[in-house]
Amino acid sequence: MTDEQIITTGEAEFIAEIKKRKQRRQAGYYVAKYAVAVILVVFFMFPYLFMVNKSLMSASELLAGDAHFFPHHFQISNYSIVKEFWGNILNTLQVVLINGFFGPLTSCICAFPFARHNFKGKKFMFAFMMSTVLLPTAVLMIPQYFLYSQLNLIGKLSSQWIGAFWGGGALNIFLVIQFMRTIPKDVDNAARVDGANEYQIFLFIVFPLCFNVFLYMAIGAVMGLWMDFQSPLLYLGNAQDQYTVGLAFYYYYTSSSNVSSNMQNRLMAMCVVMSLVPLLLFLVFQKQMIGGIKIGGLKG
Amino acid sequence: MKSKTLSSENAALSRKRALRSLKKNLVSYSFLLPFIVGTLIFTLYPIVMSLLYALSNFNGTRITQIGFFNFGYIFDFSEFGWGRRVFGSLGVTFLYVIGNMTLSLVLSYLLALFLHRNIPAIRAIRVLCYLPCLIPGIASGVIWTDAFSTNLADPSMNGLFNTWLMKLGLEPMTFFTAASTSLPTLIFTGLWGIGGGMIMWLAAFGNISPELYEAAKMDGAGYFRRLFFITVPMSTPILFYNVVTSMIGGLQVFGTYANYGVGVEDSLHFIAIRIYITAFQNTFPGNYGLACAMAWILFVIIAALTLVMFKTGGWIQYGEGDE
Amino acid sequence: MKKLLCIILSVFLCLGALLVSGCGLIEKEQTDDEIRQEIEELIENEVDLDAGRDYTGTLKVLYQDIPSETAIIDALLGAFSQAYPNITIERIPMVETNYLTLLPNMHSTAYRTGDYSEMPDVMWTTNEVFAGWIQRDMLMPVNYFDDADDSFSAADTFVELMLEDSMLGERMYMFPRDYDQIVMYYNRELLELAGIPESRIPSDRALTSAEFNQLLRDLRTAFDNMEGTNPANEHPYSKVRPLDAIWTWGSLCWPTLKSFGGSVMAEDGSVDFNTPENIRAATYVRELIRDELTFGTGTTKHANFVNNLAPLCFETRAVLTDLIDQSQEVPGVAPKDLGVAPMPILDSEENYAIGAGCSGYGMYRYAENPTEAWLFLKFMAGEEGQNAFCSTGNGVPSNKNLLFAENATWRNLTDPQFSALTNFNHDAFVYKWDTAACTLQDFKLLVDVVAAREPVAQAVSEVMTICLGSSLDTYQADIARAFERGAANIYSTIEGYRI
Repeated sequence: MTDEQIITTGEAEFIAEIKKRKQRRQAGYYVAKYAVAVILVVFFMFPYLFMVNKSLMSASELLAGDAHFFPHHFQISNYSIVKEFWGNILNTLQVVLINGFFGPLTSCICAFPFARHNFKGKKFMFAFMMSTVLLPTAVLMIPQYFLYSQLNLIGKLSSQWIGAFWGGGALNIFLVIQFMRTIPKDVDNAARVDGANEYQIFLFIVFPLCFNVFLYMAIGAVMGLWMDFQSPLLYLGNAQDQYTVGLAFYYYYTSSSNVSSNMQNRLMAMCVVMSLVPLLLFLVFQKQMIGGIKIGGLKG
Repeated sequence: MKSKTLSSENAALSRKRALRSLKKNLVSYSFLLPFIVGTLIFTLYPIVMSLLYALSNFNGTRITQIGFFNFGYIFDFSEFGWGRRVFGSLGVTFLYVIGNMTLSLVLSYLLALFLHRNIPAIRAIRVLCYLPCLIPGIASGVIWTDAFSTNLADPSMNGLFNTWLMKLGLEPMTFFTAASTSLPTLIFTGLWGIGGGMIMWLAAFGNISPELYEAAKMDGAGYFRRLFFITVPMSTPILFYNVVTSMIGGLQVFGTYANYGVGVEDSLHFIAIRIYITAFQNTFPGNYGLACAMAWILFVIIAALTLVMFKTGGWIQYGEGDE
Repeated sequence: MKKLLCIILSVFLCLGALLVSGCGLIEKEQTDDEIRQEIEELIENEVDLDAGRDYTGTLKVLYQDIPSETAIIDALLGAFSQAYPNITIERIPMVETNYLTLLPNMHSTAYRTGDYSEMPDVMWTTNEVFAGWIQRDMLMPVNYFDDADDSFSAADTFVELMLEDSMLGERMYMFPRDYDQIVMYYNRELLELAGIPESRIPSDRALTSAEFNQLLRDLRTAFDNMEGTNPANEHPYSKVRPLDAIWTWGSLCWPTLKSFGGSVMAEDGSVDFNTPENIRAATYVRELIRDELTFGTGTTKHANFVNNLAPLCFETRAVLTDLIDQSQEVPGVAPKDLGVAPMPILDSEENYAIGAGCSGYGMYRYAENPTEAWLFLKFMAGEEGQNAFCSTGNGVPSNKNLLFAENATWRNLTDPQFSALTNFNHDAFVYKWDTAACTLQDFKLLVDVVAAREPVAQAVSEVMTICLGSSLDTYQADIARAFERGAANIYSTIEGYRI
């Protein structure tokens, strides 16, 4: 063995050693990262696992203490509770669909002049609109209750969707305005030259381009109203056949005759079912949701 | 003569122009019609009635007195006056807003920083972290009341978390059953909801132009320098937006009522719940007037805080692209 | 600056305009005499006091939408429509929670629009909820009807304790339907397993405190040493604790305090809650939990009893069908194993107190069909109605003429589900009804602020909850502190409602 060789092999070893170290360090880095990630995932999945596990326990298992995480029995029959809420689920679907369609639609309509036109009082209208964000629902709660009762809406499902036709809230309008500003103006100017009026421009050019933000708002409305509890509590009154699933569940949950028989397992089964809808919606429309958050949050 | 025709021509022209601009304005306003009608009926009319109720002793059936006495009650800080109750509720609400906001914004930021890198399966991890946000409020309330349930007298009847604590040899905690721990516990359950903030921050990071980082890297800035001089400043607009909206929303928190009621010794008696109970609960004959007055106090507070925030918003780094 | 001034000025102008327009809406509060006059006029003009069995009309009844109440209203209305075949009945079921919040709002709406068609003529109510309703003019003072109608006398009909429960001040707002007194149910099967002879629980007298405590301890020892698992609930026998009771329930909590000589309010209307007697009572219960003789606050209504996890249970007649229901997920108690004995004496005999309470039906103040409503109330209070109500098994009549009648329906249940009840001591439900039974009215009537009465009762239960939830090491200090704070809380509750 010559000196040269020794040197080169030494060098090669040295380089290999460095590479190995780097690899090892990188591997260690990865391991650490994934370890943290696993901890995070376990932490964040806890409510789901807890809910599902509890929904499979039997009633006698829940009594006499000794809380445990994994069920000892698998009692799927707890899920039969859904049958009791079937009518409520249909009611909720009706509310959610009307709100999810007309709310975003009117938001788009109201946003259009703000984004595209210069009209007298635009600044004032905009400021006025944004100031309604500050108004707490509590201020309007009581008079609105009496207004609804004068309009004979108390105890009717329509009280839950009557609000969908009036612009869908200032924040939504603002969101659409921000989005419409990103659509190049050339498109509708070209149409204007071709003799299209403003309504046609909105309906055939701008509105279709707003589809993503429309979808985002629609999903947001569906998710927000799916389990809404405050306004059904106020306005649905005694009409039990009109109750939405959130309200019916609340009454079920607080009713003393149900508290007395330990029903935690069935309650949890219902919770699982109620959580499914937003979960599925998110998984299907992930892209639009995240896209919408980008517009909503970033341009604010 | 000549000038007259000219002026009349001018007048006609300007009239025409005025007409055209009127028509244009009308078209614009026709788009706003839903908003205007809705606001008139469902916002402005109730606002006026709310003011009227706030100045009366309306109890649902009749008004027998009118004046500013409701506000007198609210600012009556004598031993048994409403002042202590109302401002006690406001205090609890502020504590909740501050605790919830700082915790969730800071932690969601850290979470986003951690998840903002490209390792395999990162997307799945992000989604899994976000999922708890999708559990409806009333359902998560059922989960947490169950998991955090406490029975100090009879340890075997404890909920899951206390059972685990005891298995680890620790003392069981009081959680929702003591005034001092119920608000922290409620804020703690908010941890499972930080995924929403995380997604937002990730979107914000995605919008920072990579050139900035490139330039910083060329200058030899390390990870933390880049973090504090680029990432954090560039996130301030979205931070501001979220502080404002979550403050407005947080001050009106009501959903906890379904599961936790008003808490032990009013420890979760948020102002919106106080308003609801004052108006619609039976044990006290519905005092709609007082409830409306409280709601107006809440409005003034929200408006003032928002104003202050916008006035002190100098720290926000708006990028070039923003208007 | 100018702008600001303009804004301030216009705000003031608006407020002024509001005040002026608001003054137009002011109505006068009615005085007691005016109310009396108004109702007497109403009775004279609109109510047919001589209405017979052939009376034609409609009756709207509002009741709680829970299985037990539905069963009762079914029985009552069934009998009523047999007696008055020409009266059409409209039912308005209402979710339990709504009773407290929604009904007053429905009333407001009806009052303001003048359209009472959605409102009932008769509604189920209890003493706990009606104070607020009365303040809103929702309930008819039925005593004026009673005075005007010679064929009926409330004083001769109802158990006095329940009559007192139906009054607010001088007026009567409710016709009591049931007389509910707490008894001790027991499970013969578990007693036998523990080797305790049934004779240790006499049926004709209450257990003395010494006997009762010995019984609890013997039961505990027996089950503590027992091996094996109960096939009915799949729990080891050692999990069984002797007594299931909802200690924080007002109707049990107050008699417990009272049994030890405790009090909430002094006779002069001042708060007298932080007393050694009360603390002794709470400590007694807390130590029952410590010794695993009863369950803590975490348990739900009689759930342990129906799960065969407790051989003894303090409950009322109102839950009888729940206890023997074996069709649910929980095992329940077989009717042949269910025994009943009077509530035991918890401390000294002189302070012996049994919790009691009632619910009943009130008439809506603006009832569209007052005649029918009055007919229904009279019918419900009479023997026919009471027997119909008792046929559900879950009731003891409020009509005192039926309490001891041997042939009364409540002592002779015919429904097949009760046929297996053996040796069932009905007398336990009326044991010392005239001397020992007590209601929360004992202290509620001493609270001079009417609106604060129910909140005070809740505050008492809350203190009990805190006491029973205190931790093992510090419970004595915790209980003392709980009563100290409870007394202050009651005082501030009363003062807080005094505006």
